[in-house]
Amino acid sequence: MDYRATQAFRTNLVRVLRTLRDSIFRRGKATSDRARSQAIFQNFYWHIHSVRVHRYTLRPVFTWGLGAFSFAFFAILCLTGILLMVYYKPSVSLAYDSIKDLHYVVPTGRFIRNLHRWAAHGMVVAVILHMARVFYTGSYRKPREFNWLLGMTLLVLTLGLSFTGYLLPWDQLGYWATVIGSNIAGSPREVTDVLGITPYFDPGAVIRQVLLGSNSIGEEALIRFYLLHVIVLPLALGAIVSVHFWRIRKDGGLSRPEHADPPPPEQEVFRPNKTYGLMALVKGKTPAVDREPENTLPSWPYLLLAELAVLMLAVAVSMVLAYHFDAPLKEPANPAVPENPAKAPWYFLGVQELVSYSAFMGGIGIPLICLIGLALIPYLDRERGTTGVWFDGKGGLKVAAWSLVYSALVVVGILFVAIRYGWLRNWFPAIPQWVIILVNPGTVLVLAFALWSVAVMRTKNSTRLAAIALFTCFLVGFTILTYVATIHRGPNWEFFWTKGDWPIY
Amino acid sequence: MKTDSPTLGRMFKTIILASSLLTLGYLLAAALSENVLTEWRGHQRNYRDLLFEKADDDHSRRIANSFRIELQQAVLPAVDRIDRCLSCHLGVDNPRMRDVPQPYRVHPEPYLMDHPIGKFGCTLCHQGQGRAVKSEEAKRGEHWGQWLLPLEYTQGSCGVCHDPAALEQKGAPLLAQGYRSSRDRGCYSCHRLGERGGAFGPALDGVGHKHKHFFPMAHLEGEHTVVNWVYEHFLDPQTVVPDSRMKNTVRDEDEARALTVYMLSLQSINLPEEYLPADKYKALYEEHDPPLADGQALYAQFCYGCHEESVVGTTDLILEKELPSVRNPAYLSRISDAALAFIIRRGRPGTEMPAWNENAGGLRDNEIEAIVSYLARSREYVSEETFVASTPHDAEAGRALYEENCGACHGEDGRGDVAPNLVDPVFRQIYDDRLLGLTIRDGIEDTEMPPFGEQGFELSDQEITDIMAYIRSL
Repeated sequence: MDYRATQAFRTNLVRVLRTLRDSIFRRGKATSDRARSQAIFQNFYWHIHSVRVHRYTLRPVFTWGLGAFSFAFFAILCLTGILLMVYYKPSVSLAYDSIKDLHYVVPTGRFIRNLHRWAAHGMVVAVILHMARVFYTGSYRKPREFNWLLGMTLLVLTLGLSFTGYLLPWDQLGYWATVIGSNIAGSPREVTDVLGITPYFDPGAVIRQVLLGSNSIGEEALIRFYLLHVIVLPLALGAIVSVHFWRIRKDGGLSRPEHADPPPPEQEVFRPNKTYGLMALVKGKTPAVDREPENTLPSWPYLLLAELAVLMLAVAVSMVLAYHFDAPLKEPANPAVPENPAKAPWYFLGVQELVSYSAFMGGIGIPLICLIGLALIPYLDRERGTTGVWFDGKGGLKVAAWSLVYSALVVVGILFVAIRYGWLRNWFPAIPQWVIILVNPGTVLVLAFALWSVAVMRTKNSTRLAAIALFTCFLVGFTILTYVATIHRGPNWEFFWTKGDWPIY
Repeated sequence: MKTDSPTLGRMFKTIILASSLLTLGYLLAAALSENVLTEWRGHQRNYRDLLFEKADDDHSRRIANSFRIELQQAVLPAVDRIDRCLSCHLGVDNPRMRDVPQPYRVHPEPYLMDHPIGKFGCTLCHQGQGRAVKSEEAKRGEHWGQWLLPLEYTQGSCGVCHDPAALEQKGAPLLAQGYRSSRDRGCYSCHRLGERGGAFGPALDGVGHKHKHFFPMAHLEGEHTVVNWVYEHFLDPQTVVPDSRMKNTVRDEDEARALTVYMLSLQSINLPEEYLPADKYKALYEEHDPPLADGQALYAQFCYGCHEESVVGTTDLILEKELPSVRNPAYLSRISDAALAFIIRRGRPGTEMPAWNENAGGLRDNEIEAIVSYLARSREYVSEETFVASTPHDAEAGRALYEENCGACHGEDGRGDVAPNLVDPVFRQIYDDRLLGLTIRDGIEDTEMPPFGEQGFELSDQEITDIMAYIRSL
């Protein structure tokens, strides 16, 4: 009898773990640069990376890993979100109780919900900071203009995700924040009212109804927000973030200045027939032979380590916060008892502060101006500056610093006037509303910022510096307004130094 | 920062290691604290020890042996509750757990016999947050409206299902006392409950189930709970709510407590039929098909709150005015029963006196008649006197006389000030020449209305007629 098959079977059985491993990791330990390259581009998940990454890109102080942080938080959100969906019931009568059950009886449910909450905050912060990083390092410049636009979309989607998630627990906090949000969505009515055309053309009501599925926040709104939160927006964000990543690669990796590489030799030694282009650089000229090796590192392991470090850091930060600070869950939503003050999520509080001056300008006009302005930056500033350097060097830093001082003074000044002395309506009670829509602390701020930016453009003769001035102004404005609205606004949106000064209810 | 490869690699690896360790630690901590080291597991272990300690025969030892540590809850879909209190209060239905500390002690007799936990749970009677499994959050969660009721107020919950009056001898004397007080003290003169009562104060439906947000807590001393608010508010309404128009009528703290208990029973919860006891059905039946109306009781319930005894003049301190003395013999001697019933039925529009007919204050005709016959008991004689109005009359002359004699109390416009309104439609219909003339001429004894005729301010019949003409022209 021939037992070879049996023997082979036995050997195979013994080796099954090893062969399984070899079938998954096809090349074994990467000991040569060639093997490291293959580890990247022969892997389905890694091949979005180039096989070699520039040293400049890996400098932590250049990117601070903010884009990766945003994505890491998104990953945490997806994972914890799916777990939450197992127990959450998007129904007016069941939602609140399902969150209570998550808190009290679902194993580690409280922790998972807290993680979701903190990762959401983390993502918003990381996305905003990421945008600031890309702006201040001038990384929106050609050829990365479109990726900047994709980034804007991602910012809006992130805020949308965060906002739609706010309502789901169906508690007072989320309910009344959503009331604020939906009223902002309905604020075009302020303009149509002024024009006297509301009875015929009422876009505010239409937007609000589409958003809520009703005239008030109820079951329809909850289902809509749920659908947006768990299906529509995450899928959209996933799709766009994929393009965002792909464009990084296609636009030549992260931006870096010319001086990141030593100057090319006077004379090219030879023109190689085969370049690294396909693997390392899709775009660009024929590489100089003495340049590549010492300024790039293999992505495997360096880039992957960097990304893993960011991911784990994001996870660790979320864990620590989630363990020590519970996500809030207030009383069950009660349309009869308004929260006072009813506050939107923190990243919308700056907008809410502006809304307190004019619903339309604060809620729609100014945010739209900001978004359009941000989107246009790479198309209006076409200077070929020192891309990939913070503030384009000393000159930009100086402008940014002065803009910070200027805008801080202007914002605090206008807030002081508005809080201490009131605004036009207090001084001239009979003033028509269209004047308030046009002239309110929000629009005055925008005007002051715009004037400052134009002044910088004229004196410095630079669109880039003007952009830095404007962006800094808006960032400072956003920060101060958010701070004031978060800390110093109490019942009836009145100013209080501390929460202890609030009248007791 | 150096960017040569070994430094970078080391830094990334250090970050990965540190944050991974941190993550692992916190995951472990979270898993332990939420699943293993929970408060209720500790209580269940203690309870198991108690079971062994108390076990004195094979059967009880078997029970102790088979005790499993797991979450306990009463799921009550009929009343939309899940009560997990049982996860710590494990001995509620175990008679052996008489002399052990809380939370293991057995529930006092005899309530659980008639109210099995599987049907009634815990929070239907005790309130608190049934879903919570941490004692602090179960009793008084920061954002939970219904805090655990203090023991002495738990009786209030009996009235959610039961007819309070039926529980006088059966476990809820305080509730029954509060129920009686609420009817004797005329609460329903101003407050509506169900389909009956005045509209001067807020309706009382569901007041015991309202979230504390509905109660202005700003001036409340002590704990900001609904129970404390209601109690303090009974004792001194104007301290708790400075501009309150609530009368301060409770006799003492005991009555305030009893009334608070009764208020807590007003929960407006829709309970399924199988939760309602026989006494409730009886009360509901009586509500729809009442026994003979008792005028005195109805007066106490619906009129006393404002009119009080009303034999002599009653000054209402809240309204800052003199109320009609509806049980005053002199007043009753002139006015007919039909007129009284008419006033009660229709009220006095433009004044605080509401209409009490079935579509308004909710009193049936036979009840209004019963109230009238109760009032009529104070009628000592029927006045045979007449007042003949002089002809012609001069309203212009009457105006001067009115302003001089009447305006100060009844208001320049006759719409009432400290004294009653003289121009509302019901008044016009009831006060014919005789009634109005006699009242002005002779006044109403024992009230603030003085005689303006010969015995008083010496106005002639002609002058009184002029005043009447002026009043009717207003």
